[in-house]
Amino acid sequence: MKKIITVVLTVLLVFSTFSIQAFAKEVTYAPYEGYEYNDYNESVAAPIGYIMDGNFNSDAMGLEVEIKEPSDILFDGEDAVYILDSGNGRILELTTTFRVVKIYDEFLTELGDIKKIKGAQGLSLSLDKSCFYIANTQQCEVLKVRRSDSRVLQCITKPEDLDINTNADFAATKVTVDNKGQVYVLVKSINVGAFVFDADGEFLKFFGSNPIVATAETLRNYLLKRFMTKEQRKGLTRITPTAFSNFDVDEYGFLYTVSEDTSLVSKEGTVRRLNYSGNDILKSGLVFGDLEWDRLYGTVSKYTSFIDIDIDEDGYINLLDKGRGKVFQYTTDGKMTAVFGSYNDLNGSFKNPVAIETIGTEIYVLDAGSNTVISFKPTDYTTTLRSAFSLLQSTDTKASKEVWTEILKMNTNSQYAYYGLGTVADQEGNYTEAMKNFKLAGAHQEYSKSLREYRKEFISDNYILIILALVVIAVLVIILVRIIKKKSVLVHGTAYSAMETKALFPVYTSLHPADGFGQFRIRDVMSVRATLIIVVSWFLIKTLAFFNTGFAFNNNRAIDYSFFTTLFFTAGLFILFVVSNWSVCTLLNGKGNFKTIVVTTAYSLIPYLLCEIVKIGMSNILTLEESAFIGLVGIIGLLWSGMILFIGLSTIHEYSFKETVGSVLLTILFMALICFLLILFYTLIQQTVNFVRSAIAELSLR
Amino acid sequence: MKLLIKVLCCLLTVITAFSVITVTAKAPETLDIVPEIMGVTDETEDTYLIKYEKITENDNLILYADTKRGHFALKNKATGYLWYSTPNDVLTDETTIGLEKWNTHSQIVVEYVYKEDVLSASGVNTLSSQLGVVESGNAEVKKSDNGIRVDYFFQEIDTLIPVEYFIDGDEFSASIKLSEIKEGKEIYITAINLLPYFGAGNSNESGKLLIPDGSGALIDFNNGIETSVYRKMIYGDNVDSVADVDNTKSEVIRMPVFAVIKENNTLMGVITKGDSSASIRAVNGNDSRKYNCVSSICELRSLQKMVMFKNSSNRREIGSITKWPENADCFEVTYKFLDGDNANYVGVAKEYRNYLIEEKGLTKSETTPSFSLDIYGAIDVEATFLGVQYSKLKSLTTFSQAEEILDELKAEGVENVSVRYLGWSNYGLLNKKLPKKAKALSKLGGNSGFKELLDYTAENDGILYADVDLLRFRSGSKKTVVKNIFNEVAKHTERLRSVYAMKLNIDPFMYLSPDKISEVSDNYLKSLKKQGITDISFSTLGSYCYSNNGKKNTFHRYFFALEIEKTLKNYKDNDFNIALDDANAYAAVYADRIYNTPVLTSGCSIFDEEIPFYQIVLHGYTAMTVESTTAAQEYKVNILKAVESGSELLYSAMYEDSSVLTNTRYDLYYSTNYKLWIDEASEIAVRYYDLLRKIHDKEIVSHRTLQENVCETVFQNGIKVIVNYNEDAVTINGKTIEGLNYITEEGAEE
Repeated sequence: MKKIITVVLTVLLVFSTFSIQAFAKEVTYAPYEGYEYNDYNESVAAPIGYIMDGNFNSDAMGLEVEIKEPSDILFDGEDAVYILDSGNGRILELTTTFRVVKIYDEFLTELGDIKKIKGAQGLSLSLDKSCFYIANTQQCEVLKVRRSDSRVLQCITKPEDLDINTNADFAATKVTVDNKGQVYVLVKSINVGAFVFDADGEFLKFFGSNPIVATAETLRNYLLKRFMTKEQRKGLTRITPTAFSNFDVDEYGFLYTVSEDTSLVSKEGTVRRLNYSGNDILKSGLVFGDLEWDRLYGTVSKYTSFIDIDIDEDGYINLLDKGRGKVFQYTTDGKMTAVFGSYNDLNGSFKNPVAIETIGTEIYVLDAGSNTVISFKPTDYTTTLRSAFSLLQSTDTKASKEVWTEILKMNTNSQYAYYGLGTVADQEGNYTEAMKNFKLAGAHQEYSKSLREYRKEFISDNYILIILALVVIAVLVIILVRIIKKKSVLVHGTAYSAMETKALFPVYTSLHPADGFGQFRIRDVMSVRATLIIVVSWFLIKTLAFFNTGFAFNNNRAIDYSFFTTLFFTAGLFILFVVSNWSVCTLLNGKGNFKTIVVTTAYSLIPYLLCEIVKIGMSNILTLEESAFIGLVGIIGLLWSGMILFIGLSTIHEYSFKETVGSVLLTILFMALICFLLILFYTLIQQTVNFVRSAIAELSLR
Repeated sequence: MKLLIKVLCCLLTVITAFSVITVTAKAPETLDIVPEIMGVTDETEDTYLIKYEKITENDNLILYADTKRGHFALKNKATGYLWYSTPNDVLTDETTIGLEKWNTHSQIVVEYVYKEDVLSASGVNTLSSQLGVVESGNAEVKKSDNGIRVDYFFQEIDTLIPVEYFIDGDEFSASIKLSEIKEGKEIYITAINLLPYFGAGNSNESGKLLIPDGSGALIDFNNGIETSVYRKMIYGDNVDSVADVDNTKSEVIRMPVFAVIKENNTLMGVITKGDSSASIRAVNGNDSRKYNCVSSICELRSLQKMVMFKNSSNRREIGSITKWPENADCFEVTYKFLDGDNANYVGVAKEYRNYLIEEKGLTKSETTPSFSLDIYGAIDVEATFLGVQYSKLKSLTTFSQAEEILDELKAEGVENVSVRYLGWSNYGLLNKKLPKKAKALSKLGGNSGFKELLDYTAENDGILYADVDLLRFRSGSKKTVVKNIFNEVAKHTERLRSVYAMKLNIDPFMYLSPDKISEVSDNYLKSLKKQGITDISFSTLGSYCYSNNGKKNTFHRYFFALEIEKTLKNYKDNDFNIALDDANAYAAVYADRIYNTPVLTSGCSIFDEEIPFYQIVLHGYTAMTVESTTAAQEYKVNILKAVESGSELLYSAMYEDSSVLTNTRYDLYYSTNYKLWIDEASEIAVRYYDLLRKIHDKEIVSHRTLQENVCETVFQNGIKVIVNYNEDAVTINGKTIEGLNYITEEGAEE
């Protein structure tokens, strides 16, 4: 008896120590940063979206033989998770808490042959969930296996009479089933789209190949081909659409595809949502993945490269990026709701992620590097953000406002929150509030719409004032015109009118260019001070335009303003032009000297500058639909100034029309040449400095 | 070619060794006798046999050693438990593979580079004492009064490394005599791993390794995780070698202490000399490693690389090596042997606390538990005047607005607020120049405004720490900044959060050369005194540790801690109240309050558990706060972390609307407008501070994990706090704890 008690006690003791060991606390530190992209494709600090919840290795799953090179994970939508344990050639059935229920490792055909699935890459379930579809990559086939007895019901191989020009093997990598029971099979080496089979395994068609994107290379090859012999053409690599890397079917039966991308910054078209006729129905122009890139001494070390996609139960797009080891989550409108993950040897980061799956809002990443499944749960922030996005479509403005305010509380950087609050304010008719929020959200179109409504209100509230203001402006214009007219009248006995004094001459040349510039040679009416003022004004007006153009038309941020850029595109351009023109015209027997060219060019700018000021004013009142008016004013200014400059140059150089055109074209050419030389010089200096610096450093160490 | 031959030789030796070591060892039969000679069969080569003899004995310990080879063992007289420098069953080890197998036999492992390889920046070689010394019979063991001295002569590299092992009371110390090392002509020593397998647990034992990473981490023996060896610099990496794309976001080791915790016996090590220049190394048992152990590495030099001719086809890397710590006497680790109730991490924390009290002068600081607040003063923003750019100051919180925030907190029931005012001086949060004068920004209300705020906080039983960053600044003379071995200025550049590349449009930080720290801080002290400021917060002084490898002002980090101790002592002697941020152990003893103490670990995959070791050591002596709740990844967890360790709550506040930060370099301070959190925070604080007032000056006497994500902390006065990190409620001893919540139990006074 005593013995039994001792045994029981020992067992209890062992058990209790064991249980304490098993209750290890999870590590909660997320080894990655939270961020969102703003309108300018810059990453901005944001709360972390998902955080690690669990890490399930073979031990935790209760497996005797450890998982090896797993390749796919699948949730049946109810209570079972399947992992394709490719290295061991088996399929694991697990509970949603990742305890193993059943292992499928023997697959017999009707004839009693054993099918091996080692190296299989893709796994899917039939519509009624009674059968597996296995993309048995190494055997070049797709197997349909009944779950109840592991019997192979069907073996789909490469269809025979294909009208595609390839001998590639049917090395199926991924397989999925849509809601009509059609089976989609992806073969990496065949890039005309996915093979579609019906439920009986009959080949139907190819579906959804990526479109060929016109690049410089395609164009070059097209041109080259015109001049090549047949033999040479054979050597040329054929431009083919890139094959997509994975797919998933959403609840409406639309096929989502992802493709790996190897450009510096992510491009559009890496994620597509295809309707039954194979057309992409996602909003055009959406770019998924990281929008910034890592400069490593001018080379790029990593790309965003999607290898798996999963559409969760709320329709969110979850993407697995193998390039940087991240998971991205987007709404169907392409708004990023979360990004997380990194490559590292830390909890919550990856070694070799191969597939993702979602159960509810949790995301599961299958990692073939550590042979584990890592689960992530959304933080409060992402949960709230998701509920906010779903409310954005509804008319319940109160609930929407509440939830967006909550988002703002957690992240005052969130452009989405300002957008949401703007939308709510707009719906409530609070247009100034809406405009303020849309401005913070960087939403130009929506701002413009709210501005239109606000303007409507403003006009109906203040129409008397507005009419008065318009009258005053009209009267002022009339008076100004009268004054100019009066001053232009020649007083008897004088050769020149009151307009033709040195001070008013810039105005005079704008109205009478040929006569005005003609007087430069005979009278002292060139004002250097006026020239300076005009050039400085140009700079100031450009600066004013940068900051004060109405938000609807203004993509500039104060942070992006550069003194030198503005200076170059005003005063710099001016100097470049006059120097070039002077150089060209001296060679071409132009009569104008340097000072005359400078003053003529400056005086010609006046109409352009006036129109620019008017444009700034208009941009603050008009909406995007009325942008044509602003454009019109801009064109008037340019044409007017251009005409004056042309007449001016022809007058001072005493050129014919043809000669003037020629000299202007040569001037522009010369300007380009100077720019080119400057850039060349700059690069050379930079390279030399770098070289010398490196050489000195190396010498000092020897 | 030479390298190839070397590698081949090594492989051959390893293979031969394997074929030899297939014998079984006899376990020591009783613990009272001299430790058994290992691996005794007739075929065993003499080189592998360890013959222990008694060297010396005191009231607590007996030291045995092999006087031919230098292996030793210690007996804890209280329990009779034997701790071996080389695992006693090492000859039966068929699991460990590669060079690591030699390390299991060794007392030291030396890392070195050949001088001829330095320029080409090729790799670091390692040589263990077993392979390089004992095999060739080059270990010379001398007895001394209380121990032995072993001169390890590595013939291959013509290098002599003397190490002393001695007992003193209940302590055992191992000391590498740095000043007596005779380095071979062809090599540079870069690091020495001391006692890599002292006290190791084998694949049959159960136990844990204590790693002081972040708040503190435990590795279970034989957790089977296949990962590389854990190795991390204590007090953080140097600042002068920064990767171009760096995505490691991790915690730092703040305390130079480690332990092997077995069932009833625990071996703890404290690096007592040279801790500023040391690493912690840990190995776990898995398919390729039989033993679990944690040890220390003395880091002496480092091989730095530079890319030459960056954008040309001649692009290549060249290397150079940093300098030896001249005048450094020794690298010393003191081991203690805990048993019974103390043989756990709380016991280790207690012993380490005693060490800090006795050796480092840790005292109980007289602080009232307070609600901690970071207030952001001013930032710089870009502005233009007539098209010309300039940066101007923008106030986030003026001194009178700060008063308003404190008033509102008071109205919500939160009293005793300790404020750390960041960006109140020196161009705001930018910290543009090396701080010379403690002068409040006039934009925020000037010196008089600051004084008013000081008076206000004093009246309201609060405290106002003026924060200063003495180590980092963005512009100014480059003569006194840290440079790397290539004499390039060491810079800290902010990174893109998405792809971790450097942000090129922001001025990077430079670091003050360590030899100038005391000069700069003394000047600042005078200025503070003039202003009548007595409460000072150093946001970086306690948390950084680095060398200056430049040509001038060269300074080895071995001496860094001494420099900081000197500085902080000066402030303490001048009656300053000192607040630090995430402080290293040597600085922490001078602090009255430590902001931002680590509550998490780096989360390395090798770790099994996170524990608040840092807090257990210092709780009751120094006031501590957790990470700012507004910046925490999961703020609810952050608050529970405070409760678990009896720390103060920390919030970040600004008066302006936080949207002004968007599109500035300060966008990471989002959502810190105080109105966004004040209601929720005061509700939490009012409940929690009732508890904190009872426990803030009490030591933590017990801490354990009750079940998954549920922890229990017991304080000196018997108050028990149980924290539930699960989202769902749990029931412990009949009491229900809601999800993400805590309960307290009053206990009997002890």
